[in-house]
Amino acid sequence: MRELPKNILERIENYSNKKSFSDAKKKRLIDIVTKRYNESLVTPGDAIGLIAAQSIGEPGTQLTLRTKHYAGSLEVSVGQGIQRVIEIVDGRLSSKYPSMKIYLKKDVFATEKKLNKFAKSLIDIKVSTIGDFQEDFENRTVSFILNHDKLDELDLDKEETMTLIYDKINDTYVSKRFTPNKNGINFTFDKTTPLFNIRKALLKWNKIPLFGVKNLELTVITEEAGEKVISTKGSNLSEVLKIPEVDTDRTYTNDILEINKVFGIEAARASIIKELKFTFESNGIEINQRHLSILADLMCFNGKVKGVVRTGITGEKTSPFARASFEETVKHILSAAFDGERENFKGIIENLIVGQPILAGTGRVKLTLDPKNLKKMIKKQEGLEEN
Amino acid sequence: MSINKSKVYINGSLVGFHNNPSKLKQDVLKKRRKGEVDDQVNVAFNQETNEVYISTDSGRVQRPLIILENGKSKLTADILKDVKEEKITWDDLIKDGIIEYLDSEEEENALVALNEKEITPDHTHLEISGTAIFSVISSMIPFINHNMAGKAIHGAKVFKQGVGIPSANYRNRFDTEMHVLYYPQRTLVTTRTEQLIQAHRRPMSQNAVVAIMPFKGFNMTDAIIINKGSVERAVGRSSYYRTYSAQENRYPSGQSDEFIVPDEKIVGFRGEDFYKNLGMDGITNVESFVEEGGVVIGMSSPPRFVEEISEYGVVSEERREASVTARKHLKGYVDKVMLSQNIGGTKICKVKIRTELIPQTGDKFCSNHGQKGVIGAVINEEDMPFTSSGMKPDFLLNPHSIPSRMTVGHLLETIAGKAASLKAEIIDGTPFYIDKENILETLKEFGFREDGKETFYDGATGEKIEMPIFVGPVSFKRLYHVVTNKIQSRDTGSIQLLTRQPTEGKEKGGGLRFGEMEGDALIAHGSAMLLHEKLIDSADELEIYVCSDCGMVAIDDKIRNRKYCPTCPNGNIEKIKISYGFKLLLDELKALGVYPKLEIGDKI
Ligand SMILES: [Zn+2]
Repeated sequence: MRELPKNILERIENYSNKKSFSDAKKKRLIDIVTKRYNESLVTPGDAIGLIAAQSIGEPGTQLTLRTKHYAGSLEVSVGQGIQRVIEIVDGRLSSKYPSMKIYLKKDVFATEKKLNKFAKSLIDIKVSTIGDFQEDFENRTVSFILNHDKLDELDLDKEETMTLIYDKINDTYVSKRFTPNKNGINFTFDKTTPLFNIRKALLKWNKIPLFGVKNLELTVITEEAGEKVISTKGSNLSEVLKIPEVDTDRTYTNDILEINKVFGIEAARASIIKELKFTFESNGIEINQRHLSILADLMCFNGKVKGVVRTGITGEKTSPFARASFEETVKHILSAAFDGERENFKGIIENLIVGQPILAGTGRVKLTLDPKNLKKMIKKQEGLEEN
Repeated sequence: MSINKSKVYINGSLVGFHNNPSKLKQDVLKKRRKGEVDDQVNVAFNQETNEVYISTDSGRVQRPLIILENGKSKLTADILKDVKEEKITWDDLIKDGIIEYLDSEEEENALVALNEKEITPDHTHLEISGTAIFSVISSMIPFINHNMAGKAIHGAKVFKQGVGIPSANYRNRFDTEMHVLYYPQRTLVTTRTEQLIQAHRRPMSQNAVVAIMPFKGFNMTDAIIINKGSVERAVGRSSYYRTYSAQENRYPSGQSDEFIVPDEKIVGFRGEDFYKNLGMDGITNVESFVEEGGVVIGMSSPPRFVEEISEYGVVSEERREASVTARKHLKGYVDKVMLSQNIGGTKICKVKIRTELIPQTGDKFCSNHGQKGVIGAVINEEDMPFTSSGMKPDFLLNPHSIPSRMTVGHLLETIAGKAASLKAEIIDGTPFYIDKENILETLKEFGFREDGKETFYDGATGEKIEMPIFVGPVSFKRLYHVVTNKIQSRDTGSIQLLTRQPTEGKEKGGGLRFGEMEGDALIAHGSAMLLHEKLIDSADELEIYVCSDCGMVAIDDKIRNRKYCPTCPNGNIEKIKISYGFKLLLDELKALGVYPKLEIGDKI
């Protein structure tokens, strides 16, 4: 019998105190829980990894293949279905639909208007977002035309914006001459400037950030249990957490690698489980927590988020045969040969390849004979016969 | 350019803009009805997108409708009379602008009345017949308008799988495969389409008395219980014809294949008994019985390599056995033999073998309404439930197969079929034109319940079954999915040359694949030894000798009874058990230039 984990013991303790159990009663409770706990343990030798893979893989066939797009709607679209699961499991560097949920500190915004303004101020605005450059190559002039509709939509002040753009471009390109026109700014280059350089400059200017947090493309205010929450398209956890109004304890992003960067591997592990669970549950599928945590443990155990791909955990298996059986057989075998690797036949696939019984389930156990006890048994048997 | 102008598309490409799309549409319509524009041109105006589509290309499905003008049918009684007297043809009706073809896009602009009573001034077209919305096949299904659309499609699909009489000259044909039903029957409930295309003169179904009741669990999950008495009276019995052919090919050496009765001189001779059915010409006699894998056409081929002429100038010709044999699991009688030659003068022989297929567990049947199932059990006639009149049904369907499928047509056909057999008269079940009152009246008249139910008694105990059972004749088809052609099993048999694993496929007597997912299931269950048995013991197990010093596969010289290592002279040789697949892998590794050193240890 295995002893109960500390957490369960503490909970029993608390419960007994609350109900003011006698010592005998408390011991009986512990006995029952211990018995049940031991009954629920996985049998040694069970192929839990494979069972987890089956338990995640089979419901995966029921997930939708398509991604739902909400064209024009304000709802932030999140990748759903099998693509999202693959994205998480592969441990990809960039998520296709990064999204954040920004919780706010209590009562920082008195009115809805102020909240709206705050939400809009988070949006990443670059020069190219609010206007276009028009090139006149003959005169070596480039004029910046402001998009007033966009400006209104984003609640920006024209004057302020223009000055900012002026300053930012001025910062980087001191030698150029500026003349403000009705809607924008004219930039005149030297007559000798090569056209290529002008184009290059424009591309750079377009990317100059003006307001907001980098990568946040869209913010939407939603309500969650009576509380206003800002949902975003695009994610930038480290920057958002620096904003004083933001509740740093609850603010969340669905970008696992970003969580890993900001909060570390344990948080990443938890978020893998959370994201997988969310994806399956939003498709009406329930998967036991244990299967997901095996997967998440495997992906995170050496301190980095590694996907179940040949560059990730599969490529790091110790057995050369196991690696070769996954992908790029010849490459793995040759590199194993160069390194003079030794196959230890500890895993399942290796033994399947060779044709030996696998070391799982009934193949795990071996019968051993205790010679001392055998002698005793024989003596006992002989004694019985004599009598 | 004004935004209000509508876009005009011809065959999907934008050709221009128009101020008055409705007028444009009407103009094209008028011209088409006058015959100035081809009758297959369609024009549609989509108000929502403000676009006019004119289609003249191929690949659109069109259907004919009667044109209405000011709420009146253009097909007047006078014209109809002329049509009946065959003074006017269909083409005339189209030319005169009385009937026109609409495609799916133009149909969106039309308001079609189902019959003349429905017509209002808003209607633009009149349906020629309610049945015209169905295809030829689906309109042959009685009461199809009472079925769920999906099941109507299923029902129409099995028309091509049904066994009937495929052609009038089927006795003379040599098709590779052919099914012929023994006693096809006209359906009791017919439709007008069936009469029109004369399908009732070459039926492909039988009217089986079907009761809807469970029976000892043998008709669960859509299985069908069949009465053994009915089977013996040839319900669903059919012939399966298969043609085997061979020809006397000529080879560059001047020799050729020959139709003969093989004798001992021929390499691969299979014993005299094997060829006993063959006539003198090497072809099986008509109406002789051919066993599974038995010889059909006796044939010999010339040797593959021309032999040297021996000392005495005699060519010792070693011809090979090349007889055509019947397929596995298929035995039968020789039905017909054909001998002919092609243009080049090569002799061709075709032998048609006939097998009687008696319905048995696993054979598939289907009603017109997509209620398909395989036979779950053949029940002795005396054990079948019976009515007070002593009638025993042919089929028992499970009640669970009705509600979820919503095939009300099936139930209505049962009732109509019952009325038809009582009245001894075929009943019309054309969709949308059904005289339901008359059918129910007939049932009442003959003393049957209107709901089609009857009291049944248990065949085994004779006890009355509490609930009245819904019963009546329904047209059922036997489908060509026959279990004898599909059954497969193997204990030992042929193996592949390369991997020494069992071959795959029914014809080669192969094994059933125990794939990756199946293996995973065993691993997950922890049954390591069963997995080992499936993957190694019953596949490509190999006992091999290995040098324990250098870890390479040793040479087993069976002639000198000596085992030795090819690399080290005094290597210690051990016997191991692996899969042949792994031995292959070792060879491949060596070919890659990798030295796979095996380290041998004791198993325990
Ligand atoms: Zn050796």
